[in-house]
Amino acid sequence: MDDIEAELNIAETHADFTQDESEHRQRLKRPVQLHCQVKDRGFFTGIYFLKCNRKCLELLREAMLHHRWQEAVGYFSSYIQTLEAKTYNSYQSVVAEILWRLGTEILHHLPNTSNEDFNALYEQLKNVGVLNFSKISLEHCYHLLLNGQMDEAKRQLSIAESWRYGRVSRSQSLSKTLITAYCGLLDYLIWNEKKSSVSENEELSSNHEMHSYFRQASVTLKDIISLPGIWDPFVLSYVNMLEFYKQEESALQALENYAYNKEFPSNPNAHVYLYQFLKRHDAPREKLISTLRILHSLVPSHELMLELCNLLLDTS
Amino acid sequence: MDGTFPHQLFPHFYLDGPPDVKPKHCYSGWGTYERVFPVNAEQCDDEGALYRHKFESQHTVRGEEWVQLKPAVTPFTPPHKDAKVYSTDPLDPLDFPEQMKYYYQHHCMDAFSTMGRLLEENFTYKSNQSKDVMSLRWSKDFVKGLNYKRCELGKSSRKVRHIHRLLSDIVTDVPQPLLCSLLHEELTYQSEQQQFSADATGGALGFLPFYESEKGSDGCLIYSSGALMDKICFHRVAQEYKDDGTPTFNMGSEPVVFNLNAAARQISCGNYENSVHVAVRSDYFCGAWFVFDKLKPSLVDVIQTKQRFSCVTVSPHLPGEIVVANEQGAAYLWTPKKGLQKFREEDANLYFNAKSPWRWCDFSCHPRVLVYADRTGAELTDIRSADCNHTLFRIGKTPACLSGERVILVKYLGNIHPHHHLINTQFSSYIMDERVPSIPMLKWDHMMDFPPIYTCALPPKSQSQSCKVLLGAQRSQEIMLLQYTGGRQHACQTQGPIQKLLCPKDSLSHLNLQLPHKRRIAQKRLNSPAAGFMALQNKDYLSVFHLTDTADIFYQTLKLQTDQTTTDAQDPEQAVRVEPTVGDNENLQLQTNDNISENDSETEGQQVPLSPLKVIDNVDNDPLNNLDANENVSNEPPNNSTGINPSGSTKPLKQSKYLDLQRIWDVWFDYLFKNSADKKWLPQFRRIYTADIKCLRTNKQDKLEEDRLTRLRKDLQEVMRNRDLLVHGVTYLPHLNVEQIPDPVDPEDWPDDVSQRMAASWEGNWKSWWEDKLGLNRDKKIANLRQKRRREKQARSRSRTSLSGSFASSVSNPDSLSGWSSATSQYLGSDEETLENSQATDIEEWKSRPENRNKSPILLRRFLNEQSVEKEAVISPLRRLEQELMRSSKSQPSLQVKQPTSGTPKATVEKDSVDHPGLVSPLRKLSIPLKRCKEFYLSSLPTSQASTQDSTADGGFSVPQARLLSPAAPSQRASQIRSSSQASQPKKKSRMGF
Repeated sequence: MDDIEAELNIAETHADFTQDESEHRQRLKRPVQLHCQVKDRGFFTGIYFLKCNRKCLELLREAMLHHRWQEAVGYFSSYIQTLEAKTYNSYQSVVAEILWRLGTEILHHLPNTSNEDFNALYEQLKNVGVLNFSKISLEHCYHLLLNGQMDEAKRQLSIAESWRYGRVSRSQSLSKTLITAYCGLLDYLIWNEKKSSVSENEELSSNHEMHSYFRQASVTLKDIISLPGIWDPFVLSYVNMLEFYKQEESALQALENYAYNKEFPSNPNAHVYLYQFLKRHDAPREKLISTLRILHSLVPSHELMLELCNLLLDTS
Repeated sequence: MDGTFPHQLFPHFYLDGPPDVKPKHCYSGWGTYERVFPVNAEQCDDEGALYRHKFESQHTVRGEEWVQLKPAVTPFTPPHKDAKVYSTDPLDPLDFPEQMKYYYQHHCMDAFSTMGRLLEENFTYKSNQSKDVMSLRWSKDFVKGLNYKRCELGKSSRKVRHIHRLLSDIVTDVPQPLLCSLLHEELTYQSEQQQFSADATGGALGFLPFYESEKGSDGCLIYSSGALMDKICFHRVAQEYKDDGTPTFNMGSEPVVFNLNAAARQISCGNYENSVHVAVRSDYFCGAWFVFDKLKPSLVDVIQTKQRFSCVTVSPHLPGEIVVANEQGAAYLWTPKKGLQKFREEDANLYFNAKSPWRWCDFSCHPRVLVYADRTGAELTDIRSADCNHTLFRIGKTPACLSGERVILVKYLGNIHPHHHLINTQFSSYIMDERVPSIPMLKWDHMMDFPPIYTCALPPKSQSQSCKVLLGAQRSQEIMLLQYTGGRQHACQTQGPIQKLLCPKDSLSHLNLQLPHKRRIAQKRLNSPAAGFMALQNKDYLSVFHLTDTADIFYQTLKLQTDQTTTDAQDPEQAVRVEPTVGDNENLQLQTNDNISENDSETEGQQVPLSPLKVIDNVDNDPLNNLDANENVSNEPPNNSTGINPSGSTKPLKQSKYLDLQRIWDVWFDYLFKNSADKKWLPQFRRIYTADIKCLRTNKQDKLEEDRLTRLRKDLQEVMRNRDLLVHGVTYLPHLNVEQIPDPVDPEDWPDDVSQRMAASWEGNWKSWWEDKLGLNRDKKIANLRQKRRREKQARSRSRTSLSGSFASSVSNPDSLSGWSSATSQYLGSDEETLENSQATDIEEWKSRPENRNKSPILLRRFLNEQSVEKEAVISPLRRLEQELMRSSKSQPSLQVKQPTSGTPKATVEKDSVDHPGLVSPLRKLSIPLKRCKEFYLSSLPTSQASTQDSTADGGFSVPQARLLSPAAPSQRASQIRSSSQASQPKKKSRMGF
């Protein structure tokens, strides 16, 4: 069965390739055929197809590890044909992930790559199977953010956020959570932009558009920072927004939870943020000292210990 | 101490519990940004509305570009003479019979001595034996033959088998089943060890820098050496820089060597202001050496225990402090000459039962806080108090662990960041910060084939440079270079993708070594697993030293591709491009960047498979060529193509660049082959000496013969050169005898079954022959016959309407249908069938002969075949058609005659028998081709056979009748045929009917 399928597939792929290459992807040449033994009838057999693929992947890996990117392109364009072997669903998703990882890395190191190339790669591979959708969407969003395309990233994130696929989407819960969190972060950044643009006008807090962004961002960010983990950028944005709307109490609550919750990993930054918040809002000296004492027990060498010393000197 | 901490960390989940994600593939180190965060979102207020947010990712795309200066590693020391090269093929535990055979054969005294003594007086090899002593002289050959590989079946001896049955269970000192199980167990362990052995963790290669200057540096390379790696060598190495900054290494005259009792597994060095401390770990002892002011190293202290040591680490903080751990789970602070201070002991693994005795210890930023690690995680232990432990790393608590992940190595990165630790697992490398336990500051998937048990960390040489971490594996020798920045004000970020450095075992493909057996020896030597590595960075050069298990040291040098050199090239590619050994090179190039000359060079490289170096190195040592080289790499400017075209005169120049490398390797190979030639070669196969036979032959040859042969050789060479044919007549060879072509075989002469079958199959009738022979087609034949008869009867009944009361119809009543009557009716039916029937009668007659009766149908078949062939020969289809037409026209009137009802029965019989065929046969005849007639004929055989008995029993009544009734012309022809058939097959007996 497999052999026949593979046999058929490889024939198709080759046909596809030659057409595709010539028409669309001018840069990629014909696929390399490695150690291909053709049967008397002129077909590639399934077993050779698999062997060939494995060999190709090995060579591709070696080329990439030695940073020979030009060579890797050739192997990669041949390795794409593995996607056509639709024998196993799970196998295909692994292949799609490998292709995505190798493909993006190669694109990063080639001259003359455009954003369209990246987009095409991300878009096509995230839809091969459904198991990688969230992961690749998230990475796609990162790529767009790093290249300054925030609007596009926002659009991608909202697509990924609304994506549902039964149990598959639930199994990708971690990346789904991150997608929501980054959605909130982007909402915050938009809010921040709006804030600075409207800052001349006086009625800041009554701006409706800003308020809706604030609501969206605060809800999602509140969710993510209640989960155990390290959420420095999220916490900072959340607190910043709450402070702007004069909701100091909930901000303090969030910071204290972030610093003192036992389920969270010990993070010096959490204590630093709390201390800075307290300092900004003129908290009593004892409270500042106790916050710094806890930080002292965790990181005795921290910069803020100098401040603790000063505080202690002042009190005594 | 550096107290700064990153203002923001990258977001991470923190999950507690055993990891359940299974590793799917080993490519996860590529193509991911891991996490991003906005770097200056909070500064937006100041910058204004048009400010664009900037993000940073944890994995960055670009790092420093390090390029290889040479395509292969360079040998640093000549190959060690007595080094033992073990096969790198994986051991199969199921091979224990082979091992036992070897043991019984080569250690027979150990295997059989006890029982041998007891049985000594009952067996002898002497010829004159007494009565109660058994001679074993016969077994001498058998025992001698055991040294060779031979056919077990052909060489089995009954006597040996008898003795084996009698004595096999008592003759061995260790009972066989016990030995088998123990051996299997041991082999299983050995094969596991071969895959991964934790003994060598840390590596047995170290370097101590003494001083550094602009011109060069001086240091001491410390490595284990010797056949069993049981020597410690302190070797002075002077490093010099050429004008362009390329470092060269010069070995000092002779190393200071210390002999140990066992193999040195790990070497750890600590460098202080005016002294250097070296600790060496062997399995059951550890030694400490101090080197003061570049003087000769002196051994300070040795500790020995009954527990295997698994770790030794020299303190980076205080001189004279070493920490050791053993497999019992105890960790000691060892101050040489003062003794051990136990600070921690664990009976079990730290966090869960990993069933591993491996323990590791290292220092941390505080001299009294140590890291205590095992396979499940690492803890920070304060040695001043009994119970002060904090988790630093834990499998299961650290995010993104995979199921089955284990700690392989822990290293304190004190030279990079006082709070950072490197933790290697078989899948990933983590940079941990002591201040944030369990959460990695950075994580790489290193994608190595084997777990990285060696590591080396290099601090950045300047602010802009990145920190480097190198990981090395034992079995596969691979070394990976990872780069990262940050850890102070900024969060840690990786720089660029992981890079794999060269390893010794890949060197041969880039070198010129053509003889296969030498290649094999060299490859085997180079394949031996790594025993350690060490890296040095100075300015823009990175030198990496490898030590293998055979105590060979190699090194490679990498150069940093700086901005200054890459300004001309828009895209700096790697300078050394190792050509792919397989695949179509043309396909590997991008079309847009295609450079014709580039392709030329590559195809040319392919056409010359034995070109010594298949690598085009574009970094030239000459600074003047540097710019050119970089331009060549970029593939961008087409006008530069002449510069990189290596065809013609430039190509040797390219090769000459590596001539020095080739020369170094040639010297190394010379040493290696000289050493291996000294070793005795054990023949595995029995050799037959043919030298004396050859001598005999040459003596007998006379001069004329020799002359002839030389001339023949010359002719042959000439002919081969011209691609001609060598004709026998041209040569002076004796004339060839012309052999007669043998007579064709007549199947007649071979009447037996097999020959008949062969004859049939030769004609292509094999299947039908078998069917006939087995009687498989009997039913079919019967059915055919029946159908035929029915058809005839229908035809007859049609004609009978006019010829009522005919004699023939009254004779052939349906009940008495038999082969014979059918034969007669056929005979009556048509002209063609009369022929066949006449033959059938022949057959009947022939069959009836007693000598043929009991014969198989083969003969009969053949006979029939001949008959039919003759028949075909006699009546060509065309002629037959003619006859039919003539006859049908003749019979037309008779048909009209038949219409009137009146007439005598006899006359009607006559008429019927004559005219009836004329009525039916032409119609049918035309439609049935001759071949089918033959088939019919053949298919009706069994029945006709069956009917022969009847007919003969009837006393030949029917035959004469048929003949009587038959018209003259057909019968005449039939008799003609018969006579002709008789001529071909002589018959002694006359026919019964006549």
